[in-house]
Amino acid sequence: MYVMAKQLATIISNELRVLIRERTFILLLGVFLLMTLFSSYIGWTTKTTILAIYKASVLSLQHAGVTQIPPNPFIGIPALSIFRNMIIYIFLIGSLMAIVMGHRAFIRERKSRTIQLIFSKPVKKQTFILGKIIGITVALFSIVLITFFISIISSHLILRQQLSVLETEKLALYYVMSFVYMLIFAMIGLWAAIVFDTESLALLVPVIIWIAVTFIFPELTTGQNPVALLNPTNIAVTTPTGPFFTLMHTVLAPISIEQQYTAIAQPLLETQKQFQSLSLSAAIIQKVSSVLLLLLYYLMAMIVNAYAFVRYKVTNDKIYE
Amino acid sequence: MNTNNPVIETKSLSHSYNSYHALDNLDLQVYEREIFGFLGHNGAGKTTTINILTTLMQPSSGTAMVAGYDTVKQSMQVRQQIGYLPENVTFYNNLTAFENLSFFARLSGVDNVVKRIEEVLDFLEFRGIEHKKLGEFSKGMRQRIGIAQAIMHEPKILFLDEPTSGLDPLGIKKLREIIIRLNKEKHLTIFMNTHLLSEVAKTCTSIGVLNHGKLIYKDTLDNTLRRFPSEVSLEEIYVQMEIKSTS
Amino acid sequence: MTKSMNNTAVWIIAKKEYSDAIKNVLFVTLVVFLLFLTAVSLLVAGFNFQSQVTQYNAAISQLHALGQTGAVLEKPQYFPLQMLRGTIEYLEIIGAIIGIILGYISIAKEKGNNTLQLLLSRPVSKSSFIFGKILGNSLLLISLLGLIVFFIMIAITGIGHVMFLPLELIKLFLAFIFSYIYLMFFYTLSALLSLLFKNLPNALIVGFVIWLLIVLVIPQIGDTMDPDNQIPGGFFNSMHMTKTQQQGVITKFKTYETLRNALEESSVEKHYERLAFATLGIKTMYNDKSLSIIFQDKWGDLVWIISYYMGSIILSFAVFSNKRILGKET
Repeated sequence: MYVMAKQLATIISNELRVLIRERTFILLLGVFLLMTLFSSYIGWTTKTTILAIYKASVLSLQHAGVTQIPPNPFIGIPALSIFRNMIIYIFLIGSLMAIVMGHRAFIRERKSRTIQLIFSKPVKKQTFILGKIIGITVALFSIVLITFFISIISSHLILRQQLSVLETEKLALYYVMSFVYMLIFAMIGLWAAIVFDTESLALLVPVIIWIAVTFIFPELTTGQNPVALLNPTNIAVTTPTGPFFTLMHTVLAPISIEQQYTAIAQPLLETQKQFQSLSLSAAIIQKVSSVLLLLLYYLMAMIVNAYAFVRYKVTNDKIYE
Repeated sequence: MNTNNPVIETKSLSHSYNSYHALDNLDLQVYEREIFGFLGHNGAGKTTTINILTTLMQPSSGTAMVAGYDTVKQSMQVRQQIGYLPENVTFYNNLTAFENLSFFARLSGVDNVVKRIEEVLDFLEFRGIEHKKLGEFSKGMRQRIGIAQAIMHEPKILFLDEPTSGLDPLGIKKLREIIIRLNKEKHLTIFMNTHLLSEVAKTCTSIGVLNHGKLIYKDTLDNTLRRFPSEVSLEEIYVQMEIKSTS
Repeated sequence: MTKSMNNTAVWIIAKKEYSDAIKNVLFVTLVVFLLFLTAVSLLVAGFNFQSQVTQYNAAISQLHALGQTGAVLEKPQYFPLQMLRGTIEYLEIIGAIIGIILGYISIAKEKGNNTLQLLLSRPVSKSSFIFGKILGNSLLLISLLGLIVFFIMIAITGIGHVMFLPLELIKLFLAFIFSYIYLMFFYTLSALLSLLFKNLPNALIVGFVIWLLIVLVIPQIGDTMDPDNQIPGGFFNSMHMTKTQQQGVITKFKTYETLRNALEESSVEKHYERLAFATLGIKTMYNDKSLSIIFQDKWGDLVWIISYYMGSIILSFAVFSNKRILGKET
């Protein structure tokens, strides 16, 4: 037991060390962190500009002699909603980054044949795969922790607003859910790297799954075109009716991971005014099925990986670019 | 000749991929402190044998004992006793030599890793490169790191799969010296797959020849040379054996 | 003599590109995927339209029951080209990935095997090599887009029983050309990356990152920064403002709008989308308009996508060298 724990620690720390020296990972991480920072900035500049536009519009309407001026539709926008673009950056960039992390974690060992060396040492198969999974998990957790702090600090510095305790809790829980979401994709990347014998195929197959989850399932269930799905304000638009969409919704909505993620992310980031009054537990209870489904998919992804790895044969390994 | 017990012993060891018999009833003994050269054409089953002996693969039938342990039932004990350098390992290019070595040493449960790495690199006369990244290493340098990781935990038996492939003449000479020193000074038994006969003649103490999964010849190098007095070189002896076994 | 020899070389390389790609698992997988998505998007568009009609009819009968005429409601009209919105968007997303994969395999296969050494030892010039590759992949993408257009024709005329008007056919053909340019830009971009990177799969990952930024992230930022996009239904609508009033307000926020516009302009995808949406009438203000009206507004976008494509070809010439193509991973 003690030996296994020591080996586990060795594999985990090696995974992290190798990962932070990979240029492609650093590139993706850089883009991701930059977008996190940028999302607060976008939120802020859009908010201030829009308030100014409202004021200018009021002046222009008054000038035209309109007396009944509509109320400011932006009044009382929840503070957290300035982070709403993060939802999109998580399911676009965050999940792609997670795929690359999972992919690299295993492809690297196969390509350099270090996997043969590792299994000529007294290392059990389960120790190795567990080490890989924990390594990826720790890396992703650290990244999510950093983005959480970036959000808190940028909200403090750029937006000059102090988040309340409830808001901080909601933001933290939002990042926990994002963490689970990205983990699912990391597991898909890892799985493909175990199963496929062509490196580019092992990368492309998870990307295809990612496209299916991000664009196709939501399109089939909501009738929205793929690009429109990327507009956070558009998400609330009414869905079309008819037997086709009803059927698609019943069948696909539960397996549409992205929709489950968005479903829980929206109340947590208070994308709409009605979410602001929700307490933390009310937000979770309202979307408890989404939370459970995400956790279930994560668990399933782990089981699939374990199965793929049991079947994987070190000595039969041939890998092509 | 060899009165001591074999450290590697296989009994009717067979392995087949689908219907292809890669290894056919192999009975092989390698004794302590031998440098055993395993010869054979491409696809003869050399790598399959080494894969089974290093516990990376399970045989279809038969047994293999390495250092007194069964390779299937006691694979973890076997792994503790062996060092292995597969063909074409490139290591972690982004890590330094020290980081690479310390990773593999820790997996083998080496205690005082820093001190041990220094000792091994001293032995290999390979100092000053510890903090260079493996990405900058030549093939020959990588091969020495490969040897270093394989002996880090002081194993009894060292397995090498085509260790000289891709090396230049100078690299081959250096590697040969290392192998002989490991055998003489550290008392390691060495099992190496190769198809370079000139290497075998210069390095090995005994040889075995594998042909289509069957062991067609095994003896010490001295006996072999005595047995074929008319042949000028090992190469011609080998050609003779191959012709005999196929006819 | 040399000229005809070069032409033969271009043709030989082009043919090889074509036959290599259609045997490639990655490429074929993606093509099947894209065709599947085209079917999905047409299906969804069809059901969406049906749903609109049902909702309209329900609303009308409700109004009739209340004793009112249904004149206030606008009857949903069927324009076959507008059904292609999803298809165009999938071309933007998956089509670009196909371009990236083609560019990757086009260079990777040469770097992996040493077949090219044989080729380069013969009198084949750099330009015939590059043009051969471009020609071969152009033919591939034209076949692929042709297949998609064929699919669309069958779906709309065969299943929907609607005939295309001559002008609509011309517009469809133009959209086909724009799509070709857009996809080829990604092909050359990815071929460039594969030439530049020593570790090939890294070129693929970097290609995906660039794709993510210009196809999805940058346009998304532009979209979310649009003041009119902030509330469902549009901000200015909710304020009951006329178009001139809107413009009067917007001009006061020049820097913000310039920034937003610059972001959108920097993405080749946005130009392609504007062009295709206008031509196909997906942007409703251009629906049923003549080509001259459309091009009066959108020629700039056409210039942009052609420049992106040409620019990447010129860069390929600058970057290409025998050493690069033969340089294997160490």
